[in-house]
Amino acid sequence: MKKGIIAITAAATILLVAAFINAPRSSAGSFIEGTPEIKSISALTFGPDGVLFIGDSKSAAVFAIQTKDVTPLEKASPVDIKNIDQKIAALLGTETKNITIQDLKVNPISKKIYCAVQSADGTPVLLTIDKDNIQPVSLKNISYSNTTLNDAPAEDAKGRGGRPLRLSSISDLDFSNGKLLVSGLSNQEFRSSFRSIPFPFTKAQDQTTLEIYHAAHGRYETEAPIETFTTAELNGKKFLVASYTCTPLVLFPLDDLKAGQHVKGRTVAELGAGNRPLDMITMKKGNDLYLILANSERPVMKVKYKDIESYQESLTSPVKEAFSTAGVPYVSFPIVNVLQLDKLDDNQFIFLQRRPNGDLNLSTRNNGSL
Amino acid sequence: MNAETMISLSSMNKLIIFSLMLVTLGCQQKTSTNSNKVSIVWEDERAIGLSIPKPVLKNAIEDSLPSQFQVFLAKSGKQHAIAGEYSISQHEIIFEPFIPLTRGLTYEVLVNHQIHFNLEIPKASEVPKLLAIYPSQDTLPENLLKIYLVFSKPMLRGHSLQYIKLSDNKGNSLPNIFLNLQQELWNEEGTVLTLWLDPGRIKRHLQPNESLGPPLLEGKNYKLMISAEWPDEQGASLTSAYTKNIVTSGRDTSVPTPNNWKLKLPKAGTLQALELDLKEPHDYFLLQHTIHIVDHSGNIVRGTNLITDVERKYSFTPATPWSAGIYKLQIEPQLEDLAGNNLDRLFDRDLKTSEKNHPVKNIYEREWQIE
Repeated sequence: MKKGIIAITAAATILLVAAFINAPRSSAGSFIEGTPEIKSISALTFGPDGVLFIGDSKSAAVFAIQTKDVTPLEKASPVDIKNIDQKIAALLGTETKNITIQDLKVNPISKKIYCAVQSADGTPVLLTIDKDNIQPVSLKNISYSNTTLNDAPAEDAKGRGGRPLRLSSISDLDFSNGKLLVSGLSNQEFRSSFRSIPFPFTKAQDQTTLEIYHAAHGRYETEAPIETFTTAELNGKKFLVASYTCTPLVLFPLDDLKAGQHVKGRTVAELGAGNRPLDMITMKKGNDLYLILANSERPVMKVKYKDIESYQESLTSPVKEAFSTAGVPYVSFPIVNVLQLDKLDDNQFIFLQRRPNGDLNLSTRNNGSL
Repeated sequence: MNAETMISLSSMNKLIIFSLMLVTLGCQQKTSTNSNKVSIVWEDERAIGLSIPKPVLKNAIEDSLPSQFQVFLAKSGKQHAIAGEYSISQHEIIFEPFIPLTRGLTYEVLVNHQIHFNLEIPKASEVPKLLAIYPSQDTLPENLLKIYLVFSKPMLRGHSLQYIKLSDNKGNSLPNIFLNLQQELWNEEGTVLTLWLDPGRIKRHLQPNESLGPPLLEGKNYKLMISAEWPDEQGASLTSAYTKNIVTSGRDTSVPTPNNWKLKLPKAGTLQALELDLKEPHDYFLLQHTIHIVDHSGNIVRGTNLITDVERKYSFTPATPWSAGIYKLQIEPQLEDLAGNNLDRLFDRDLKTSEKNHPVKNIYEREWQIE
């Protein structure tokens, strides 16, 4: 749930969905029938035609599975599940301390919620949430396709430092313009890694190193890993919108992210040190699009895309006051401890929130509350 | 695919070992004969399913198995049967939940809505151990970047910082020392955890560094404590708590320099080790795969390496005897010292100035001759 594809009006969304339904299933080309060896589920994102991408940190691979969940639904019923961790634990036959919710993602076609859970013994489980009905998804005998991240092709080695970074952790996934975007981190080196993988999968993978100027840090911060990202169209051009630990918001032109390139990002906001961004989505209210950002130590924030579009500067000087912010303006919501976010439909978003009493609830909000 | 409880008639291709069932609840008579036993299906020390003999469910109908053979977590109120998949073989019916049954928990098995058995999944007999902490020496630079914990078994992941504490010499636990990542950094087997000390606090003049100070200060004593409560993925906790004493030396502000390494050369025709004195401790795991030895034709020499003397010494023993002639040591630039300085750059540097002074290389080489 970190992410969401931006920018499309309600009418355009309907057209797009219709296009998916009527389009030839070109994505099916590389799929095979069988049981994928998915060892972990760190991140989820949806592609075309109900294809769900699963980021598997443990095997440093990405799987695309055909959910066949392609019956369109325009308006979803709000979801409100209190103590969702207890309900999932009961369904799986264990206690809440033995499960971790890794990611939540809404199928943009059916509006059904897909939830990645990891059990204490490392077994990954994929669940669907439809209103208050939680069900495991069998990953046996399904149609799938996969690609390995650490067996990158030779051209990858042209990157800075002469070799691809071995990933041990996938921090986020998104699908945009026919490509799966993967941010990751190595367990032995502190380096940023960002890959763009054409889908249907081929052997081609572009690995890019990204450089940002981190205003909270007061100097260049090449290697910081991306925690969460999305893509957005700003002034007619596609951008990667990424957020890092200590919370700079950085734009990278998607066209620049090519194999072996070292790309400098433009820092448009500094949302405060001492914080980790956890998830981001895009929602529309009236005629305005907003970036909604969940944080570890700060409330949920919203940033108006028009403000990002009109902000032509790049933050390059240090933020002087400790923990202060800079760049495009933002508004904090009175919602804290939100761990996951995703767009439910054009008018609603879901969020997973740890309440002060310890309850873990999945709730829905209408855009009117933005 | 959207299966909640799917019926699968495919036979299980797994090695299934049946261990035995256990106690009964008002059904003692049923347990007294083999024909009624509920058995645990084990795979790789995981209780991946439950099996009942076919005669227990006379006239079992495939479609109705999810209602005829149900498993609940004991004392959970029986609101939701555990979701899983069913398969029927020649002699038994197997229920396989989506995650293994949890060791130490008790489950109720209902057959035709009557309690058939209560059974506890036994706790793991083998407990995990912390085998090593790297860096292995106690004296560490104040700008130490990483700590590795090596366990004997795959550990519970996702909650590691609950079980790790760094305290000062007064016993005060120090907060926000380690980078708290959503996705923890484990090796594939789940036995090695990488902990990063917060890089934003290590890099000088950065805001976290100035507001919170560096994680470690020069000339201080610290204790790294690993809680005995930390369970492995089977739920068995460490045998005991572990403590590593740390004394901080000054800041390491130089890049590792292979040209300064001292080489002790082997003799031609022998399997003697090539010994490298690295002069300072290096990253244990990066050492393992960033150093290569090639012969005069550029072919990689196969062999095994050994890292000793608190990661200061690296020795390489070839698989076949050395030949007389020229060899090269090739070192990948990402090899780091304990402060994260690699061959190309200091970890804490300002790109505006340092890149010009120190261009990056793809490989570092040292040539030597065996006689």
